[in-house]
Amino acid sequence: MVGISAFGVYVPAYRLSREVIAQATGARASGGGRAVAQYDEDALTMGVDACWECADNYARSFGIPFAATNLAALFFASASSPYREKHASSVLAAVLDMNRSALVTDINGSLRGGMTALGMAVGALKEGSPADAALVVASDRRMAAPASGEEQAFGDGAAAVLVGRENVLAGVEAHVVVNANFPHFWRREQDPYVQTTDARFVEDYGYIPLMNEALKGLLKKAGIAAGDVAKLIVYAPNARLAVRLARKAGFNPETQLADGLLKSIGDTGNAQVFLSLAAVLAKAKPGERLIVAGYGDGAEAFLLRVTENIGKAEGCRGVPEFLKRQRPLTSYAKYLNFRDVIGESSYDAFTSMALLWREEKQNMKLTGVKCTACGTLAFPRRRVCHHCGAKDQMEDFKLSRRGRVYTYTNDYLYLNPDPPESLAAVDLEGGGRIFCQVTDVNPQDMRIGLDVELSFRKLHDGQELPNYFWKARPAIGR
Amino acid sequence: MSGVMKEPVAIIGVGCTKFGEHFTKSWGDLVVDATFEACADAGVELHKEVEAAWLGSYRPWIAGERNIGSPLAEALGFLYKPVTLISNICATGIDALRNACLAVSSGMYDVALAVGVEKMRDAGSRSLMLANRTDGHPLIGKGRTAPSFFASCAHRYFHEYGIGRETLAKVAVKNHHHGTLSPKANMQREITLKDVLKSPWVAEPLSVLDSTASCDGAAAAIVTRADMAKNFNPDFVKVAGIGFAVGTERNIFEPGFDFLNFKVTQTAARMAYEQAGVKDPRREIDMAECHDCFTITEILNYEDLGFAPKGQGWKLIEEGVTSLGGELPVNTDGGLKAFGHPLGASGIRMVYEVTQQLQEKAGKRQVKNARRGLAHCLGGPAAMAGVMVLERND
Repeated sequence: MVGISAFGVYVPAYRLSREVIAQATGARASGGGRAVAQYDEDALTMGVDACWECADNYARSFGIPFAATNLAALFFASASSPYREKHASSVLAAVLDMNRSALVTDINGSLRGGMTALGMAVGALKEGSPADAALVVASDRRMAAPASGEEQAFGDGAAAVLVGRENVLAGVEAHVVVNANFPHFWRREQDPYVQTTDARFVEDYGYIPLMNEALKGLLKKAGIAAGDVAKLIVYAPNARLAVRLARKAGFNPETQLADGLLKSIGDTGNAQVFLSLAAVLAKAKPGERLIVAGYGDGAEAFLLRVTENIGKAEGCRGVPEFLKRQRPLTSYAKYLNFRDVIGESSYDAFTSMALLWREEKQNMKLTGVKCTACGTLAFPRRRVCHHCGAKDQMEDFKLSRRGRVYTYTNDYLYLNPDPPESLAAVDLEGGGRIFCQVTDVNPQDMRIGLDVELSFRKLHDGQELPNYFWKARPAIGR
Repeated sequence: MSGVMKEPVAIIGVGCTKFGEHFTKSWGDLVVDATFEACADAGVELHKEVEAAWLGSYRPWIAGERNIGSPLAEALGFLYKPVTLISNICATGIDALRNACLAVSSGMYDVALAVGVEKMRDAGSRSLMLANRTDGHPLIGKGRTAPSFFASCAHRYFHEYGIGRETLAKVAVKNHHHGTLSPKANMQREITLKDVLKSPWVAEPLSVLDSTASCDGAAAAIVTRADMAKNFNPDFVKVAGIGFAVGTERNIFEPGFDFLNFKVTQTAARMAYEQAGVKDPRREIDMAECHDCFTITEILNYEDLGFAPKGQGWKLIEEGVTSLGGELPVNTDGGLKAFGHPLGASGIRMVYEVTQQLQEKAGKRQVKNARRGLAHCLGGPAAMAGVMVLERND
């Protein structure tokens, strides 16, 4: 049976209280707080984090290391890719070190992209591809006009699901697609911010009928009633609308409707249903039926059946851990700066396309070298061993993404949109050291011995390119 | 390999501008002022007697000059002679002088000039400190600044040896006091421990007053073979030892690098001590100028230069050993901290001070019976170091 083998979630550390937005903009606060991407994060970097979360959760659940070489396909679904031209998925594939023959593509533009990608992943595996699995990544950092309702409603986040034939947590039993040319949210080439129109119209003539059609179609196709479903997981731009839809489609919103995480995280676009699904799976019982439905240019829904394997997913890192690590962002101006609405959060620095291309193994795949003559490690890579002098006798050495701070500082000199800039020398598990910036950390929490993880971030925009590399961040969930 | 210079070398003249914010002077003006002062001190005529020059300037381009030898030829009218640009971060000046020494020792030239100069303030107050934001490898080590490296050393030093900011602050207080006795120093005011502890962070645990300030300045030295020196200046100073060691800026990625001691300094010091026959530097060196870009750096230098055992450098400052009047005064002119640190100039500025001490021209800050002095520069995140041992000629 093809189904979901693992999930990974990623929610940025900062939460901007809707009160803070309301105070700054004169709007009415809609309650709770929204997740805000750090200045060095975009939809791609959050997607990378979600992939590693997924990989680590798979390894935790089944005791088998995740192997990117087993992936037949990778889909990156986003309405806010950092690239308008060029795939973000190819960066992801490089970081994960996937086979070059795998199907790797972006699915851009619609909030339903993640569901479409899930359907394509399931399809790819059903067709009998020799590979075992496919990865679906859904991530959004959507831009809403300052002081708009969407600004309060939106949130940033990412999720990834590993779709496989073996070691399945929840099998896919049915899938329904409803295509429609209905613009609920859109963004033209020249628009910096997401556009929408009269809320009553798009809800009554778009969201409710299209989603209802998909849900009804799915129940009919599977030959089950709404009451047979344990949890209904739907994308919704606001919580009230999800309740309306559940009622309309014959579900009990009190008992069946899953938390859309809108109050605590926000409308994370493509990521939202997956984040919600991950939270549901963490508590699911074998045999339960789940419906997952996405929206955008129509609607799309899947019926899942939880398997006996679900018990193995117990120790997985998921939504609760990411909700727990939140830090308040107390300045609305800082939020605007992180998103380049005021000032510039990034900068131009020397870079070279040729250099970045040549060093992909080192910089994207975190691969150093080990001298075969004397065993000395080196990162960054070098040809001549500094210990024994052997020339060109190196083998690849993959660095771990986990480590411990050997020493550190909080630097107030370097220009940084979230000062001070923390830096650390980090001793990595299994050998090697990296000296890098530390992000998502309260400077008071920096200390020798702090457990950290490496996270893929944007360092700057030299040569009009996002220059991605690794930073450390405090280990999540410890 | 003998590890010693072919023929002994002497310094016959030194010059130094006031260090500070020279908004009224150009890069070339500073070169002219330092060089002509050194020539006058040496009793040589620049255009007639000096045959070759080594220019130490880390980044002439930040002051509108090109990174080549010509700006020196242009400023001094030193035309159609060899001029070599040396650039080795904060160890630039001492390396320029080292090369000038090797040149006269070889016999190819009788008289050579070394000039160290940096014009930092024309490019903004934090220009050079921040240059690695825009320069260098686009990803590896991005975000590291000079203070962030030494601040990381300080945190580890605190962790290992249990000292705190108060001990570091004493280095700043000492060097500022020395600066008040030094007419050419950038900062000539006393500061208190409280001032240091209260001043704003640069990089925790280092504050503004734990750090040297960006400034402009130039220093120059004239060298010749020791056997010819007395013909120019009977009060010449002997170059007893020179060591220079270059490591890697990627040491911060080395699992074995402890952020507590620097092999580049240890190695350069060993080279210089062997040439000079120094076996116990703590007792055989009478005064030293060392690289105190930050207060912690001076303490680490004490250990690497052999003035104190590993982990005990901090005791020298606590016990007053390195203050004027102590057993081994260090940074008698105020050091980088108070005298200032225009990068390329610093190494030769140190030699200027050591020379003045050995010639008993150091005025209020004169160290009694100073017969042997040391100058030490450290470049980058302990990526390179130069050490010179100088001696009186009698």
